[in-house]
Amino acid sequence: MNRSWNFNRRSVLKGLGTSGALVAFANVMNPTLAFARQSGVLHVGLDGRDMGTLHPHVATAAQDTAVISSIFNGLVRYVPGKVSVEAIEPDLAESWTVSGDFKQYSFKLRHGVRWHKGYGECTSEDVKFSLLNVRDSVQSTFRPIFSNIERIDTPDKYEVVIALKTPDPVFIAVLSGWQGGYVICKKAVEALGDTYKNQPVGTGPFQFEEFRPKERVSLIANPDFYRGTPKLKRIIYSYIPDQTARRYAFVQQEVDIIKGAANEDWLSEVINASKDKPLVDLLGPGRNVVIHMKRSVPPLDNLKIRLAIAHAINREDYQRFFGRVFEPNFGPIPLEYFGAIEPNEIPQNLLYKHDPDRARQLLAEAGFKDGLKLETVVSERGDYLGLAQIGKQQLSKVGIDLKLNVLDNASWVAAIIKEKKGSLVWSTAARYPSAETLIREFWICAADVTKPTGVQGFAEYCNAKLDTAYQTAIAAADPKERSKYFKQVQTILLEDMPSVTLGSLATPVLRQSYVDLGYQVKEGTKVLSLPYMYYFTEKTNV
Amino acid sequence: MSRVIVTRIVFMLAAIFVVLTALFFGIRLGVGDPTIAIQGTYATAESLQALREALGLDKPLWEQYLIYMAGLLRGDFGVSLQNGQPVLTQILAVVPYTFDLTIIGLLIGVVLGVPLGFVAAVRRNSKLDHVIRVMTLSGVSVPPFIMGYFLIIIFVIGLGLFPVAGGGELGEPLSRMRYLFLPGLSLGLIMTSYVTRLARTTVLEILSKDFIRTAKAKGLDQRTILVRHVLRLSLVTIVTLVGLYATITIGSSVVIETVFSRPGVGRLIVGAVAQSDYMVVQGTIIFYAAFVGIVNLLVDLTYTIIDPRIRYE
Repeated sequence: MNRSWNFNRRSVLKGLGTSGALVAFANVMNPTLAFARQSGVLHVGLDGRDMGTLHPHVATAAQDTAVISSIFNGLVRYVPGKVSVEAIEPDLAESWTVSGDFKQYSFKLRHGVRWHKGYGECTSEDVKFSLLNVRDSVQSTFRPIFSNIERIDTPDKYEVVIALKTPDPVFIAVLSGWQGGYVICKKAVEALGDTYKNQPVGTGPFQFEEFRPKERVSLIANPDFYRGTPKLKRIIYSYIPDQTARRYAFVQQEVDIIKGAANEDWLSEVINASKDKPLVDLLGPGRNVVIHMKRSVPPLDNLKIRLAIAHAINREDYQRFFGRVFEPNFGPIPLEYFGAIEPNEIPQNLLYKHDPDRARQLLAEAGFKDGLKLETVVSERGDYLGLAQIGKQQLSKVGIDLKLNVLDNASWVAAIIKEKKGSLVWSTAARYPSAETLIREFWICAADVTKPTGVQGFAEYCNAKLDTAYQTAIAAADPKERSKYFKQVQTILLEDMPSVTLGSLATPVLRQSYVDLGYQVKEGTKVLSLPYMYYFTEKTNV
Repeated sequence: MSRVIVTRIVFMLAAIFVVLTALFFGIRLGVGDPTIAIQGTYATAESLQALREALGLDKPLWEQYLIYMAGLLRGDFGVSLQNGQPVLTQILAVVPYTFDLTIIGLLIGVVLGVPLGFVAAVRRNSKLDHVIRVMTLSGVSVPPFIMGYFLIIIFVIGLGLFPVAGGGELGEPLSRMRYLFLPGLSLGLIMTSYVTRLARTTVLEILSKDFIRTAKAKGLDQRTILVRHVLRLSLVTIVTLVGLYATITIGSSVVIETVFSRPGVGRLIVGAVAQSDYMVVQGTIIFYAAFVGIVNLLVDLTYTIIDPRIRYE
């Protein structure tokens, strides 16, 4: 059938309209538009819901500390990719000296370090203001860490002298820009007031550009950075809380870096689905995985019950579940921490290996031949819930019936910190990798959560002998001496068994092959980076 | 008419006041402690108390209430307890994204759903009717997040056509559309199922009325009956329920926003509840209550346009 075409006004207009719509749709559907990588722009997919606070003396959430580390500097810093006392180098300070009694630290500051956004030069006044703020401000999260500062003097614009109340041979580590050690701008805080926490002003390689609620924070290069102009023009941190969306965004190269799930299957799937072969780095220090056993919940006050629980734990199950990110450990402190007790240093009678028969025997000796029932609260967060569910299964095999009440993470934190609930409390914590950080927060008498000073002593444990060994350790200047007393503390912990340490969990982070961090990272080794995210320096590039 | 509008607005404000008052006290008794959310496991009893005082949360509840209400009267929604940003700034920053998503979801729902429902009703019990009914039943049965992932698998992983996370640049229409396409389609397909089922039921009901039989007896042609009488009358019911669906859509958008990591009011409120950020929760609830009130008012006004017999005195 022949069809004749009428080129009248109406048909032409229809044709044009249809063509226009098709062109517009084709543009929207053009794949090259969505994923055209901008040169010099790094996209990071964070697993947080939104920005909390970018004030470095308050922030604790991983999605905030990751951003903060690019904006601020401390007096000293760790060589990127390394975290240890040996890897500390000058940052805002160009040099420092320590008095013989370890009670006075004197710093010479760099000249000409500029604050972002035209707030002038960073001087000793800013350093003094920062350290007093982190020590005294009611909103400071890290007050206990800085409480040893007695006085700060500023003889001139570029000199800072810090006097301590008691000797501290490793106080320098506190000033490294981690957990409150970042220097904030006095003028900017006075000018911006409370809004400083969402418009931070620092000295770092990148400066705050914009915050879009529920979407992203972007930083732009600081052209005045004292180590040189950054190679990157911009870093965009996107909040992608949904794990599946984060994974697809990475596979499609919408983002260059993401934090991965602590699960071997998940990591393998992402690597296999990606176009180029991305790299998986394990960031440390590892989070110490501990089950605290509350003494106030009978029969957990009985040592035999606690030892039975320790013997019921099979670390191989955790290795199967978490894969490469999990490193088993029998001592209370992760092996990469200074002063950690090594497996070969643990006396045989204190090495509580997986032994279900011994666990059942200990339960019987304690009067629980037919088993016992316990109830506790646990966070719904994947890693916590996974840990608790594996634990529940293992305990059931020796006759301990554990009921888990699953709460959202915020309610769980409130339940264990404020309401002192639970019987077995799973906790994971990564700190500066030296034994005192974890001992101070979990096991000294002052840490007991039933006390006003309590931080995370969920086991409600207090042993004067341990406190004495701890105080001796932190006052010791000689590393060997410090280490010796830290190990003594850990031996006491293994004898009393207030908590069972299972091992440590590293943070898996994936990056595209074209991301150049600007510093050497050996594949397969753990990258030490305290903000749970890579350090981005002036040399980082895509 | 203007008096009716003014009265409605007064009622709406009264409803917001009641909701907000109940929420103000309820949230402080039922939701967690924001100081715990801020300091997390670093918190000590001393530091929590100090932070409570700094945020003014140690004051008696009635005093906090009066301070908040006095602020509202000055147009001050307060600042987020978490990040210190003004609540209103945060809401206004995400409203355009939620607006885009809701409008596109409703638009797809109405544009596809009304004709499909109409055809299914007119061709009742035909093969076409059965196909439409099966499809819409599937649509209402599928949770929004499954629909979202399903589209991601096809359009992102399979075809690589659209981005998966974010909301695009507000100032760039093309970018905005690219980021809206998949979430909008997810919501739109679900809405289509609801609207189709509703339209079909409504049209069937009207087709069984006496006046339709009379119209047929009068010899009016099928097309006139369907367009002039059936469609027009069914629109009153459809508009009512689409208005209701608009409020449901904004609820469903929370899930879609999460799946596609889109900024939006839904995600704002979910995050605020998780962080026990009272101020942001209160601000977003005011927004929701105002939105529902305005939609209801618009629905009522639309009746008078569709059906001149409806008058508000």
